[in-house]
Amino acid sequence: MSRSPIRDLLVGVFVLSGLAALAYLSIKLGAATYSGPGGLVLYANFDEVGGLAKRSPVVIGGVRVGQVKKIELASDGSFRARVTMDVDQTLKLPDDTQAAVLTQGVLGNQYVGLSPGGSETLLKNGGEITYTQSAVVIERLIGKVIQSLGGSSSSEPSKPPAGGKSP
Amino acid sequence: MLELVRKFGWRSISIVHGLGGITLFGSRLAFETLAPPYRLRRLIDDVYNTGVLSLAIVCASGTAVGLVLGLQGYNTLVRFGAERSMGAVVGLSLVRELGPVLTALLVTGRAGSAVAAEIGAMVATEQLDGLRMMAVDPIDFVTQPKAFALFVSMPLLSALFIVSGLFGGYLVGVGLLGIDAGTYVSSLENNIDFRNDVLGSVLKSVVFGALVGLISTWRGFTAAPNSEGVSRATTGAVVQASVATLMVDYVITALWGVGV
Amino acid sequence: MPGKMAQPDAPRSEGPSHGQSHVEVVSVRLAFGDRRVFDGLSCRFSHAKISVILGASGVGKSTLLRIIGGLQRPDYGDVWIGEQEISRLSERQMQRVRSRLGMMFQGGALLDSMTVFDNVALPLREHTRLSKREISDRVHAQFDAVGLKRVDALLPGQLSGGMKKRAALARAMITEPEILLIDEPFSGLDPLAVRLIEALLVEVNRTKGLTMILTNHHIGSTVRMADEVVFLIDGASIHGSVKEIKESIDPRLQRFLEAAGTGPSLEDAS
Repeated sequence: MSRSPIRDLLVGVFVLSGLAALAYLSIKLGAATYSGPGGLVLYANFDEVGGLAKRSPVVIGGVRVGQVKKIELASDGSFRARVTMDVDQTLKLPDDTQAAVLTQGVLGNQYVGLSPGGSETLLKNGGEITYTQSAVVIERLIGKVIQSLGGSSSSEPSKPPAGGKSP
Repeated sequence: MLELVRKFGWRSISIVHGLGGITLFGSRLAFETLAPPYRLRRLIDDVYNTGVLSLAIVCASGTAVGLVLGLQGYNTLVRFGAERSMGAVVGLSLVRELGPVLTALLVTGRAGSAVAAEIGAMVATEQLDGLRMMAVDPIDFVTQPKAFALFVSMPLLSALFIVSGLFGGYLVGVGLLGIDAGTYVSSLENNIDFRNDVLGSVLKSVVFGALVGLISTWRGFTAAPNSEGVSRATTGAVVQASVATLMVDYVITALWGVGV
Repeated sequence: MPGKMAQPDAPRSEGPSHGQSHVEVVSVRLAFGDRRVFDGLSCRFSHAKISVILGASGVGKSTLLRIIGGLQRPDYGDVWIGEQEISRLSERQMQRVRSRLGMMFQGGALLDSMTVFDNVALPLREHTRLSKREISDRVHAQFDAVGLKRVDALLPGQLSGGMKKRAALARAMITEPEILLIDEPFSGLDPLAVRLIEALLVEVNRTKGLTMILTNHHIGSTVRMADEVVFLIDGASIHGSVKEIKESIDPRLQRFLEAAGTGPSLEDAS
């Protein structure tokens, strides 16, 4: 029954490397570490979320701090998109923090970028981010550029309004 | 004309008969896996034969596939100015489809055929009868460790195939085509999702492992006890396991969903 | 449904009473597809005797042995091992009966992925709780009994034909069965090896009093070894002692003996 111990060693190495590969795929690639419960749930309403999706990253200064948990139509009848975010609970975010839907590069994926404000009061679990900036929709932008090029000087290519008010 | 109908009927009945047989065999295998005695020694030997010895071909093929994906992906993406997404393209193709499916086909060819041949040869040389006469169940002693070894090795090999492929893509993209390493890696990481992609991939490889394990051992076990029988069992195992893998792949892909 | 015990259909040597027959096959019928192998075959094998199943190639000798061993189920008829009918047992029940049997297969049927030692030790490791020491002692005792030296670490593929047979015999005997079934023990052996194996089997029979049932198609060794002969022909059997067989007036038997007697093999001369 005694096979060569080298064989056993190789089997062990094989299994370990296989498991390591699986772990790499799951954790690093699948960003499964990010499902360590962020803990801090925040809400924000946007006019337009563009290509933002569940599990899209939530980022501060380029560093990932959480992910989008849910996107649904706001229940207050305003036809805006209500985004639920789950971020790292050790963060101390002032309640005038701004949330914007941004794009990686020009044609890349969309994510939520948070810009912390300066207020003394902090956002608590379940808090609401009031200052939001909607996604840029390329078609509308192009449409506006065409308008402004062909139209009167009074209409500027207006940026999508900050502050979450309807255009 | 009547002859055709008769033949068709006979074929259908024998197919159903075969399906019944393999199902019963499969349930015996499952039972023997869960029930003691646990033949760890033989399992390790069989994992060596199916897993370790398949490592070389899996990693080599994985890297090669990654290289090709990188090249082809680049050719297409560059037309849309989207080279930065190459990591995602290579990664998603490998993780979702090519990893589990190609690994299954490779392992079928290398280890599945070997298992079928080995068991078939044991039937032909009366070794399994010998076991029966010693009141040892050949399914428990010989077949189950081999089937389980295939089952266990498959997800591990699939993961290693994928990692090799990612490396191949990296070599081509970063080394050859000048894509920035950070872009490649972040494109990879940001676009592969655990629940949708990796989990589905692992599920597929596990299911394929079970399929290949079941079909290879079944064909070997039911081989006719002569050299022609063994040869037919071996080729039959490879063909049937491969086709089954591809068909089940569709089913799983459809059910698992493609969405985010 | 269990059938009644039928009388054997051939001349008997000393009329073994029911109590003396260890293995009995009654009215067995078996067909593979269109090919009828046995058509109402009945025969009995006596306690502690060497019985040889004789016949031309393909007549069904090995099949009969497999039926006795429970590896093949007849379409009809009974198979008795002692007081137990075995042809209708489930595989699990059959396993229990097999502790009384040992079988030597034609090619040895040793597991070629394991060493000779592990092969012979297998039945002990599977069914007993003996210590490593005890198992080792018993295996080596068997090696001595069959005349094998220094084969422990060899693989079956490295053994000669004769050594394979000896190893197979060692494995069959290590569980101390009552009945030994031996399929073509002399196939593929040179005349010297044949004599050696013959002597070994006879010795085992004399010292341990095992009931031995062999299949053989060589006349010579049969004549030298057998206490009883069962000649298979046309799906049934002719049964008797060696003397009776040689003096039989059955034309089929005469033809077989004649053909064998004029064969080229040295050992066929009796």
